[in-house]
Order: sequence, then C-alpha cells, then structure tokens
Amino acid sequence: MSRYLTSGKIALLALVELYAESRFPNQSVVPVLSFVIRHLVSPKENAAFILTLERIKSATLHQPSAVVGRTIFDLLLKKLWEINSFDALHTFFANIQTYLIEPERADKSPVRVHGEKSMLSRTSVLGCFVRRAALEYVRLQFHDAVSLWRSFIAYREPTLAMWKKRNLGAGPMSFDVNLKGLGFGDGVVGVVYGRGKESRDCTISTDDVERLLEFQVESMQRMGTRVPDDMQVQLRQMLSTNVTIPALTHYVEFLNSWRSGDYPGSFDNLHRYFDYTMHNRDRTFYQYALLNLAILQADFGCYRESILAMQETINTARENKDMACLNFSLSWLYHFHKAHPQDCPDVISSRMERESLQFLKAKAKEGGMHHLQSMAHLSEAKQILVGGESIPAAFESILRSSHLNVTKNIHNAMGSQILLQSSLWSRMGISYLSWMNCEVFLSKYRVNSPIEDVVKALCRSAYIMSLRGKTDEALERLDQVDQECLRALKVYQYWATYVGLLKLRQAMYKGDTAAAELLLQQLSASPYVEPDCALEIAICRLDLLARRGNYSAALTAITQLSEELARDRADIYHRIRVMIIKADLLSKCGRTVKGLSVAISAATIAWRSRLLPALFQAFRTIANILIHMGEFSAAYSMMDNIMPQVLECEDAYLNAQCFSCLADAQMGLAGTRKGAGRNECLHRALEFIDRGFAEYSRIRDTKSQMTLMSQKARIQDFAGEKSLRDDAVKWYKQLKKSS
Amino acid sequence: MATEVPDPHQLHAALQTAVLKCSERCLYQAAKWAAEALTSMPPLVPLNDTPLPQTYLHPTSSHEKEAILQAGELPTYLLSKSYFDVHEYDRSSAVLANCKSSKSRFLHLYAQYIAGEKRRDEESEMILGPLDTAATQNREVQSILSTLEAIFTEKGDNINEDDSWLLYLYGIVLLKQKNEDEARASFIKSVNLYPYNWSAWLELGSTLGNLGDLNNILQSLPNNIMTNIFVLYSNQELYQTSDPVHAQLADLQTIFPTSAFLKTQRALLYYHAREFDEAEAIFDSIVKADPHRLDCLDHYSNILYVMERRPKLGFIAQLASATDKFRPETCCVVGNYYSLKSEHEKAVMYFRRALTLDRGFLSAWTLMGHEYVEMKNTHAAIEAYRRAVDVNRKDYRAWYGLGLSYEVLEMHYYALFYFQRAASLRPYDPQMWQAMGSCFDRMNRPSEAIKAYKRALISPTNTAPDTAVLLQIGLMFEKLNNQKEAARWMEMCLKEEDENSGLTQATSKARMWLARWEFVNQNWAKAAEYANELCQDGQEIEEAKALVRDLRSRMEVGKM
Repeated sequence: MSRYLTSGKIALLALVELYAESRFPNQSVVPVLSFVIRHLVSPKENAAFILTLERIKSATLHQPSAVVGRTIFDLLLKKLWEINSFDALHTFFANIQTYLIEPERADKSPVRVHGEKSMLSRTSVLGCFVRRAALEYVRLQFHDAVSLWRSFIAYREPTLAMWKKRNLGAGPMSFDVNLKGLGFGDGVVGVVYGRGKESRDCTISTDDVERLLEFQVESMQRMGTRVPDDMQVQLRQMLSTNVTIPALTHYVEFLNSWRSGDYPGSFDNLHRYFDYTMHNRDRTFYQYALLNLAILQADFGCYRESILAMQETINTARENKDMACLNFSLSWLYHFHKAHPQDCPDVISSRMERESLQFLKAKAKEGGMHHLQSMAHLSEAKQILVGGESIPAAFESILRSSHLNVTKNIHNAMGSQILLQSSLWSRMGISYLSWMNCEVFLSKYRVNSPIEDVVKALCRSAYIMSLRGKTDEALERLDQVDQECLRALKVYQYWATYVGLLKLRQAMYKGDTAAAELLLQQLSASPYVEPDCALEIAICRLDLLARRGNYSAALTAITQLSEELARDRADIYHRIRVMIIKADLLSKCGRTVKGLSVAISAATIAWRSRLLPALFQAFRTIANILIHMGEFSAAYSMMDNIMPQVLECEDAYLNAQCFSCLADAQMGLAGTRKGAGRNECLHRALEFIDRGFAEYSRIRDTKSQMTLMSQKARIQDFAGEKSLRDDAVKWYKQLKKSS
Repeated sequence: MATEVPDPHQLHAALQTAVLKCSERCLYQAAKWAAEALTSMPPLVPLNDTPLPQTYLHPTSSHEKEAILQAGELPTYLLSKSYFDVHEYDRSSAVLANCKSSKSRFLHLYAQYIAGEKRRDEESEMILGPLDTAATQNREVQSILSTLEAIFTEKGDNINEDDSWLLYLYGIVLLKQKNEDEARASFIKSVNLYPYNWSAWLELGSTLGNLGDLNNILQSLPNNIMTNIFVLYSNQELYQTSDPVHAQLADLQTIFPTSAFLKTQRALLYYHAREFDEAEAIFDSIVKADPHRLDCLDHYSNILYVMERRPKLGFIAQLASATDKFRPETCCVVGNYYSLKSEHEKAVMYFRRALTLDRGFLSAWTLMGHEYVEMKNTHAAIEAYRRAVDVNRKDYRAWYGLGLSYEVLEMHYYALFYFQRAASLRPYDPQMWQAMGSCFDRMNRPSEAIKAYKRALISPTNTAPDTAVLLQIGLMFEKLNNQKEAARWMEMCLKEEDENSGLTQATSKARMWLARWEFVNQNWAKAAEYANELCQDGQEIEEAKALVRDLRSRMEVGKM
C-alpha cells in the first residue's frame, strides 16, 4: 500500500532525470515530455491510470536520444537497471532532487549550452512532481520503502531480456547487486524476496485510485453515464490490493447504483459516503448531501420526500451562504414544480410563478453562474412555448442562452439549447430544420454533452424520420445507439419508450391490433415517462380505440385526458392535439356541429400560438366536417391553400389525410357539376387519391390504403375505365391479402 | 575451569533435559539457547542398548520428595503454565499461590516478576519524553525478595538442583535492587546447582564489570562445559581479543561445530579487534546459513556501518524487516542504515522504536546517542548515553560518547572521567587514550597528556605509531618548555612518515614546527630544507613560502 509512489512513477522520474541530464534531442523533448505530463496531471482518458512499462516502451522506443544509436528507451532501461539495490533506489531519490534549482539562485538561463544539465524550476510541473516524489519517499517507513522496491523489481523484470542484449553480464539475479553469487534456492533470497510470490502492493497508489475516482465522478456527473464495465473490473482489482480506499468510492458506487435504478443501494451508498466524509469535511457539505438526497428521491418518484429534502437544502444553503447551492436548488425546485405541479405544496407553487424565474436569472447573473443563467433563459423560452405565447420572445430567450453558451464556453448546456430549438422548429412545422438541429447536435456536440441529451436528440431525430414514413430506418438508427449509454436506467427507459412508440405506430398502421395492444400495455406499464412520451402513448391508445370502432370508450378516455392536461397546466401544444382528436372523434360519431366548434377553437388557439402542424390538423378536421356538411368548394379551397405548408411539415400521415380530404372534396364537387367539369374533378380526385395512396404506403397504413383503392376502383368504374378499375381491384385484393 | 571434553552422549542428554526444563519454567530464551546448542552438535551415533531416553518424557526431579510434590501439583502447574503462555501473568501466578514444590514456587514468583515488569513497561513514559526518567520500578520485586528469603531460610543448606531456579530468580531481584555482590553469589550458587540454565549465566555475566571480577569468580564456577562457554562469552563482552580466547573458542567449536552462537562470538571478537573484513565474512556465512536469525544482526550492521557498505547494509535491513519488523534488532539495523544515509531523524525514530520494544536494548541507546551527537543535540545525546551505561556498564562506546559530548560542551573535567571509564574497558584502544590526552591538554595538564598519548602509542594490533599522536606529544613537550624533547618527537613523526604512513596533515605540521625550530636555532640550511620540502607537500604552502623568503634573505645576509 502506498500513498503516492508506484513503480510507474519511478520510471517517470527516471525519464525526468534523463531529460534533466539533457539526454533528449530537441525533436524528442515534446513527445516524451507530453507523455510524462499526461500521467501527472489529471487524466482525460481511462487508460492513463495505471502506467505499465509497455506503455512507456511504446512511447519512447522510437525516440532517438542524444547518444548515437540508442533510443530513449535504451537509456531508460540503463537507468532503471542501474538501480540495483534498495540502497541505489534510496540514492536515486536523493539524487533526483539535485536537479532542482535552489530557490536562492533561481536565475535559470534561458539558453542552455549543449550537454549542460537542465535544471528544473521548483514550481514547474516536473519540479513539483520531483519534489512531491522525493518528499513522499522520505515519508515512507522502512518496510514501505522496501515493498516499493520489491514491486519495482517485479515491474522491471519483463525488460530483463532487452537489458541482457545491451549488457551481457545480466542474469536472473542481477536485480539486486547483493545477491551476487546466490541462486534462487538460497534461503536468504527466499526471505528477502519471497519465493516466486508476486508483490502487487505498490502497483497502485492511493493517489492513483483517487484520481481514477475523481475522473469517474466527474464523467458520471457531467455525462450522466454509469461506470463502464472494464472500469468496474479495474476498480475491483484496486480494491483487492489493500490500498487505502478513499471515501469517494462510495460516491462512485452511489452514482452507479442510482443510474442503474437501484434505489436502496444508492441510498445506502450516499449515506455511507457522507458518513465517511463527515469527520474531515465537517458539516460544510451537508447541503450537498441533502441536495443529492432530494434529487435521488425525485428520481425514484418519492416527490413529497424530495420536496422536504430540498426545502431543508435551501434552508441550510441559506444559513451557510452557499449561493451556488442555493441557486441550483431553486432552479431545481422550479423545474420540479413545472414537471410535477400536483405534488408541490401550495406554498411552493405560489412562489414558483414567473417571478421566481426572473429572480433566478438575476441571481445567476449576479453570482456569475453562467451555466445556471443559460439554463434559466432556456426555461423561460420553454415556459413561453408551453404557454403558447410569443414566438419571437422564445427565440430571444434561446438566443440569449446560446450567446452565453458560446461566449462562456459552456459545453454541456448546448444539448438542452439545441433540443429546445429543434422542438421550436417542429412546432412551427418546419420539420426539416428540426431534424437538422438534432443531427448537428449529434455530430458536433456529442462528446461533451450529457448522455441524456444525446439519447434525447437521437430519439427526436428518429421520431421525425418515422413521421416521414421511414420507420424502419428510424428503428435501425435507434438500435445503433451506443449500448454503454443505455446502462443508466432513466436513459434506457426513455430510449425504450421511443422504440416502443415507433413499433406501436407501425403495428397500428398495419392493422396488427394484437401486437399493438401488447406494445401499448408494455408502454403504459413503465411508471416514469417523459410528458411528451406519455401524450404520444395516450394518443396511440385513443387511435387504437377509434380504429377498433370503440368510440364511446375513446370519448371517455379523451375527456379524462384533456381534464388531466388542464389540471396540470400542460403544454398548449399537447392540449390542442387532444382537442383536435376529440373533434375528429365527435365528427366520426356524427356530432359534426360540436366537432366543428371544437376544431375551430383548436385552430384559433393553434394559430395564435403558431403551432402550425396542429393548425393544419385542425383545418383538415374542419374540412372533413365541411365535406360532411356538403360545403365542398369551401373545404377544397381551404385545404388547397394550406397544402404547400402541410407538405413542409413532412408528416406522411397528415399529408395522406389531407390528400384524401382533397380527393373527397373533389368528388363532392364532381357531384355538383356536369360534363367536362365533372371529368376534370374526377381526374383531380384520382390524382389526389394516388398521392394520398403514396403517402399511406410510406407509413404502410393498409386499411387506409384499401379505402383509397376502393374509392379509386369506384371512380374508375364510374368513368368506365375497365382495365384501370380491374387494376385497382387487384391492388385492393392484394392489400387485403397482405393485411 | 573444565578442561576435559565431555562425553557427547551425556552432553546431548543434558542439553535436551535443559531445553525441556527451561521451557517448562517459561524461560524461553534459555530454552532457545540450549536447543540451538543441542542441534549444533554433530549427530550422535546412537548407542545400541539404550532404551528410549528419559528426556523425551516429562523430566522429573531427581529428588524423591520434590518429585512427589511436583506430581501432585502437576494439573495446577499445567494450568498456570498455560496462563503464562497466553500472557496472563497475574492469573498464572495466583493459581500457584499455595503450591509447595520448588518448580511451582518458581513459576509462581517468576510470573509475579514478569507481571511486574509488564506493568512497569506500561507505566513508563515515551522514550526520552519529558517524564521518562528510567526510575519506574518493578513493584513486585520487594515481595518476591521477601518470599524467596523466607523459602531459603526454611530450607537452610538443604538445597538441591530444583532450587537453582529459585536462586536464579533471587539473583535477578537482587540485581534489580543493585545488590550486585549478593546477586553474583546467588547466580554462582544457581549455576553450580544446575549449570545448563543459560539465562543464569547471562545474568551472572551482566554483574561482571571488568576482567578482575571474572578472574575472581573463576574458582567458584562448576566444572562444566557451560563454564567454558560462559568464560568465552564474558571475555568477548569484556573486549578480550587475545589469542588464548580464540583458541578457547576453537576448542568449543569442535564440540559445537555448527553453532551460530559461537560463530557470532568469533565475529564479535574480530569486531572488537577492528578486523572488520573477517567479522563481515563470518556474519555473511551466518546469514546465509540461517536467514531468519536476527540475533546480533545489530552488531553486523555496526560492522557494515563502519565499513560504509551502504548497499549491503540496506540489504541486511531488508532481510531483517522481512523476517520481523518489530524486533529491536531489526529497528537497530534500519536505524543504522538511515544513519549511514545521513537521515538522522529517521534513524532516531527507528532507535526509539527499538527501545519501545525493549527498554534494555543496549545498542539502541548508544546508537541513539550517536545520532543526537550528529544532530548537535548534545543534551539528548548525553541522556541517551547515560541510559546505555545504566543498562550495561561495559559499553565503552557509550562512555566514550559521553566523554565526547561533554567535550563538545567544553566540560573537560567531566569528559575526562568518562574517557577514563572507556579506556579502562578498552585498555589497548588508542582512540580512548588519545581523547584522554587531548582532554588533559585542554585542561593544561601537559605531563598527564603526554602519559596518555604515550599510552595511545601502545597498541596490540597496530605496530606503527600514529603520526598525529607523535605530533601531539611533541606539542605537549613544547608546552612544558622542553623544546629538545619536542624536537625529538617531531623528528620521530617525520621518520614515521618516511617509513609507514606517508604524508599527512600531522607530519606537515611537524615539519613546519621543525622548520621554525631550526629557524629559531639559526640552523638556516636545515630550516630551508624543511621549508622547501613543505613547499612540495602542498600543505601550509603560504606559510612555508614566507619562511623560505625570510630564510633566503637571512642566508644572503649571512653570506655577505
């Protein structure tokens, strides 16, 4: 067990010494030193924690040294094998300090004569490393120093063959000069070095473990992932060597079990962590413990507990004047209130109105907490959108946030911003831009963003693709997600919901009711889904009911749903969509007038909030009702006017419905005209039917395809085109067979 | 002293019995020593008709009455011994409170004594801490003493082999009360009754302050091989390195050819005679033969320290700490290693640890004193040395160290006393006499200084006199205003330079002195000769050159 020193660090020290002896030619200095530095400062990759001799070899084997014909690795080997006894190791540590500049004469000349010792300044990275290493060595008790020495022998042993090449005298006993003339069988060797038993004591130091854990915590907190498997193996290995394990392990365990959805485990570990750190950090971190606890509770659905913990957090943070914690808690509470308004006590609800956001923004700005400020702007934008208010205002907020992200280099807020922007575009019916945003995020910001954002973007883009009718591609895309990301439970649930939704849609269009039923059951079984997913699931359920003709059940369900949405003050977009479906249902049940009024009011709200896809949907419903009421030309002109924009939405289902609506309108018009006028209308209707059919076939909605085909057959029959009619009939039969 | 070679079979049986008896009485070190001696004998050719020897069984007393008593008390005794083995000393002692056999009485009192020692250790303060006064006493001693006295008065002259253990214990408690003479008498009685208890011999050895003491008791020792070993051991402890001692050792080694103990004694003899290479070779072979043996490794480390064999000392430290890092010997070796690497704080830490493990560990006290001297903490050094001397009055290094420390403090009269003690222990060590000489010199007593220095010239090993001493004698004569005599010694010094030692600082100084002296005597030519030689020597050139110039001008004046 050692605090800091390991055999790998000795090798690094030897490299530093070689550098200080000016044995590196100019071209080797940068690569070798950057290799050294990479292992001294906090590392950015998983591989840099345990420094094997192999890694050093590959880094130095091809670097020429100042000695002709020798690589730096050769010199390093020489240096390492010259440490040929415990005493030599001691001397090595004493000597290395002579390369430090004395503080009194710190006038290091910038220009170095060739071959002159290059002194290390005491405060440089290398100087600090050397000083720390020497100090740690002095701190070592004798037997600890000896175990370091023994592990160093084991560490160096694999290079014996290479060392022999240069130095013919080397043998199996040349690791210690004191063993000259002895063999492995001698008792002395057995006592001092043990018989073949490996000492792994000093391969890992507490320092290494600490750095590893810090790295883990950072990446877990920033990216929201779990501990990767190979890292877990490494950690377990480290635990098995009796290194003093820092309390941080428990925190890593906590995050890990939290992400994996192990509620009792995460609780246990969080408490354990804070118990172990209590004695050295005192109560200064109490509020953070509470904060973690609150978030944890909320994540597992214990909202009441969570609120209580958060209130306590806020009180403690206030007491301790910890502004960062306080602001974070307030912002969290704000979001929590938005997400679960029914679970918030009134005291909090009343405070969490708009003013609180203003307050947060002001506080964040005051405290220079740019991340929080950027998030507050986004929240503001979101609030505007949810309330269906001014679009330019929403853009302004997003722009503010974006400005902050770019100027203050806030990488991990990028995801939320782009996602919000993407949803803004899709609400405005510009689906291509929305998709673009997701793709840009995925290809450019993926590395530095929380895993949750990445998966959200992926799901969003897949969803957009499925709307365009490319469900198979979308599913494939979802399958390609990095499995490592899905090890966090929440992320996995989100992803799985989307996969389920896409499949459910597919099954519904195909008319595979049994499969759809099953999928729907599975989807509704999962307790925690995002609100947008929940709405999609509800809509699918209604759709399924309607498709099976169970209108009364559908109507009850929709009434309940709209009531729930109204209670939660949900997103206006969601409410409009529900309204439109209700209008549709009403019109299908024959209560056209009521349906018309609902549809018109939905269209008004949608227009006011610039929710164009919803608006078009409402228009289609209105047009359908108009057709029912025999107002064909009005319906046609209304639909004809919006068609270009509808196509821009790239929603295959909406397109198909609109086309079939147009066809119906033309058919109705044909009934009012005679002669050439009628023929023209019929041809137009046929054209619209074909286009609608094409859209339906994209999403493989066989039932609707069949409806259109039968319509087509009848029109052709009416027009007297026998062969075309037979074609249509054949199509129809084929479709019927396939379904 | 015994001279005849004992019958190996008898000796074998005796040693076996000794091992069993000692371990029965929880005298572990003595048992270990006897067992080592036993196994270091050449293997016996078994006699044909001997039955299974009695010693394999429970060794019973040879006296009937005692044997009956012992047999009756055996269960209680076994209980008590098992308590002792798990370090429950008070309990062990209490169990045997009413027993009557000598064996049970011994263990009863011995456990009481050990319990007292344990409590004393627990009560002691941190080593060399502010409250550590070494005055903490074993509180059981008085009661043990009175019990033992009662037993002995009850027995009168009717004591036998079984009582030898009680006598041994009596000696120990007497020694604790600094009653050395009676203790010695008690030990002598004990070893006469039963000679195979090595602990008794060791304690007897510790009462001997000098060679005279040893010679005084020689007559009263039993005629036994153990006496030979003891005499050899005591000679070694008293730094007698003469040929007869070596011869005696060689005799013993024919009986115990593989004994590591005897080999160690040989190595220590070489060490005392400053023949380090031989000593190192012997220790090397001991370490190789039994790498787990830690006994006397501290002496080995001292040898390596003096020889400045850093890697090897490091290796030995590694070896020792691999075997047991909490043995005082190990701590001393490690401390010595750090001292050699000039890490004195760490060295002190390890010596301190050695002393925490065993307050009576002599070398650690002395070495700690040395470290404090290195760290310029003279007062702590003096205290450490003082403790060393209290533990063992035969450690000349501690006496010498005390003297040096007082010299640093410029308390020469004090220093002189300690140098004298050191010199009395090492009468043929020039270093002691030299130190004494310089002390006299400082105290302005040149005639005594001359005597001391002259004594320093007598050395059994090194025949060539030290030039520095010669120079000092010369300077002392100068102080006595006996210039001629001084010049004679200076010339001797130069002669020595030609013959043996070569150029040293001392000879240069002597030459300078001579040059000046000739100058004063107006022997220009002679003076010039010395001065020119000095110019070639490379030391004190400036002064020599000035002298040469002066001489030239005078000689020129003389010519004119």
